[in-house]
Amino acid sequence: MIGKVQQNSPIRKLDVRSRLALFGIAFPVSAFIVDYRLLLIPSLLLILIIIAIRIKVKHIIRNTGSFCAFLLAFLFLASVTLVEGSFETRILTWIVMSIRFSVAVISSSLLSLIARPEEIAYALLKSGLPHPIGMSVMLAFRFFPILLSKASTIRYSLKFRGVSLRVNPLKIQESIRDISFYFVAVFATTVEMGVMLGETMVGRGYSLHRPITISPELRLKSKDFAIISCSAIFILLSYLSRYSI
Amino acid sequence: MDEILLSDVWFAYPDSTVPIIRGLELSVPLSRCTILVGPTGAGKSTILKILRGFYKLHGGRIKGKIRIQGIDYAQLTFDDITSRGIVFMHQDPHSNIHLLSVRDEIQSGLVYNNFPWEQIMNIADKTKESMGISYLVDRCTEQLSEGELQKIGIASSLALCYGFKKSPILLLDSPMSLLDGRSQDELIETLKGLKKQDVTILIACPDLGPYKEIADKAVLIAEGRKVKEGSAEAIIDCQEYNKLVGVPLVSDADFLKSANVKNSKEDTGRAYHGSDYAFTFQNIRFSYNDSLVFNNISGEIGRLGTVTAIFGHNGSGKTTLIKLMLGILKPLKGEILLFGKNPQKYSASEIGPKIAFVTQNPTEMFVSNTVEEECLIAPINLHVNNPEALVSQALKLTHLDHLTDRSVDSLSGGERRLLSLACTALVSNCSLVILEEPDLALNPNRWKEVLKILLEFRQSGKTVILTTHAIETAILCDEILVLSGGNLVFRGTSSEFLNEKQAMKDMGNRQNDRLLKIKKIMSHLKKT
Repeated sequence: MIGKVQQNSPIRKLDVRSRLALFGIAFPVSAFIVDYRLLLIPSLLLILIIIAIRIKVKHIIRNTGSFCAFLLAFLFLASVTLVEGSFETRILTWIVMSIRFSVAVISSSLLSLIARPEEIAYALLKSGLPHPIGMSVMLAFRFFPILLSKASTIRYSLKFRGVSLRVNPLKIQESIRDISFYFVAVFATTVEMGVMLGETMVGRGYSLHRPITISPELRLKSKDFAIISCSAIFILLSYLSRYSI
Repeated sequence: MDEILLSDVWFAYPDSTVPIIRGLELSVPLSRCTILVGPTGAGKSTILKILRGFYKLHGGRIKGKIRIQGIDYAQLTFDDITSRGIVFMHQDPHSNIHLLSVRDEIQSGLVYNNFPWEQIMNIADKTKESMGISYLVDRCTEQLSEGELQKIGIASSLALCYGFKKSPILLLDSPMSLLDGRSQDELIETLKGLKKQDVTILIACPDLGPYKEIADKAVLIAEGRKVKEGSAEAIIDCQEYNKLVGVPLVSDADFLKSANVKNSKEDTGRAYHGSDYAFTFQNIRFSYNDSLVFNNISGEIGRLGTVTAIFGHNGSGKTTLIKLMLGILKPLKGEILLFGKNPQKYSASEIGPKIAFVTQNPTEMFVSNTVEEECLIAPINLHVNNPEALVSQALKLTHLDHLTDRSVDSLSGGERRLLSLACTALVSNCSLVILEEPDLALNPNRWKEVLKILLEFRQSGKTVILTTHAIETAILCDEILVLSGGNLVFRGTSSEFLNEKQAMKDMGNRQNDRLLKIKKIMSHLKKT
């Protein structure tokens, strides 16, 4: 689900840092504006931006749909059972809370649709983050998908050799043995993979103590400065809205 | 002048007392291509890793004298070796890829060595062109096939090599094992170009054949010692090479004859139906995220009691098809049936006695400490009688009987491949054996032995399905399915395949030459 934005989308012309500031920080923070009438501003703005940058709604639903549905159901139960007051108050609380969380979840998940993980890591490096931290982030992006795939291969390799990883209440001892066997194998693979990725990195010449080349292609333009400034104002207004009531 | 010089070198792994390299003498000339060849477990990869300095990081005992670019190895730190332009590529393609984007992976070495950005871009473009991988650059590494990963691994090493102007040394461990015909051609041309640019190349491989035209020198090693050295032609013709490595399949008329004679189930003239096959497909559609792999594939695969080859280029969808067949992946649309039932619905106790599955990367399937323990998993869980005897027989068949108590991690690439067969198909009474690229990392002798085992499986009524990108392997199977761009472009017997020009297009010059050689032998066999 990464990088689902269309080629001609205006978001592609923005630097990753301004995307990060807007969707990763400003929108999630503004979702917690205290005055619920002001909350409509970031919500509507988010909808307008989604339309402007031409991201298909199906991608957003695929990315966040199940999580948002769970969240809305949970908030409904929490509002109905825990909030004091009339039924209307409880429903209003549920609606406001739902909007808040939806804005926060959708805006941060949008980031994964408009920027690839390595772009974010490079943007962080360019912003002055020490390269050992930035590179660790990048290694983690590679590490977890391989780990999942290896864990799945081990599971199937055991299955085809007659080892079931389901708990059988009639053979509880055997089940525990087999499952622990699997987890030990996955753990060993995790360690091996960590060593392997590190070895590849140092093998290509990476050193904690030497500078690395950062792409000059990441350059903030006037549009980016405008977006970052707007994000900063957004965050400030969200904070100040605490005092407006 | 020699760029690398090894004199009476001994080496043992940190956790072992048995030396893996035993008094090795080796000289690698400057700006030349030297090939290290030998049987599985000879210590080829270990030599490359020593030279790259990995054992300076992980430990291990080294005795003897090593000189790299005229400097004593003992005085060099790991970082010194890096900065002298010594570039290494692992045999396992996953070990060469550490980033998420193909573009970043290719540029990584240059970025870590702080090359100017403009130079990085120029080198990356040059590498992409020479390796023919421009179409992969915008992809994510986790979506690539093993062959494509190997291409990227090679490209990343090459890019770093292009960066170092002062005579770099390129150490490649079996770089062609996963490449299809076309990519092998591209790699050979690239290596020829590198030699002209004063790059010293040292390649470890299980078979000298594919490297013959670029090898300036070949060194045959066995059990950690040098057996013979000379020109590639001289080594291939020597007796020791035939005994330790073997004649390639394409040149071995006797083996092809015996395999062809046994190939009695090829043309019976009978019409086959769904129930004659292990797998039935109906309108299968599958994609990784938005990248479509199969669109509407239907048919049957794995006629009972025969050997079927799924043949195709790197990234043609062979592994994905196998994963779909076994229920590891779920199709977006359509239905796959294994012996009349959805493969995902089989429990371990149901599917275990039916199927033996050997993955492309055997390292991924090992879970035990020792070779024997690994082999005992299947017979114990499948309640086979006398598991110890069965395991001992399987290890004998695969020539691993002397490694029973060895740690699985310490095995060489070829030994791991043989173990993957021993711990699955050879220790269970399953009726269906599925193997992904079983010929990888094996020298011709070992591969012929494995082929014999597979052909014997057929004789005993078992069904074998294998994936391959090597034409000489596919041609020995009863039925060949050719995948290209996610479509089944050909299906037929080996003789039909030999006459089908469309199915064989884009195989690469060297693979075409091998095919012509086989065709010649086959037609001669038919006449006689």
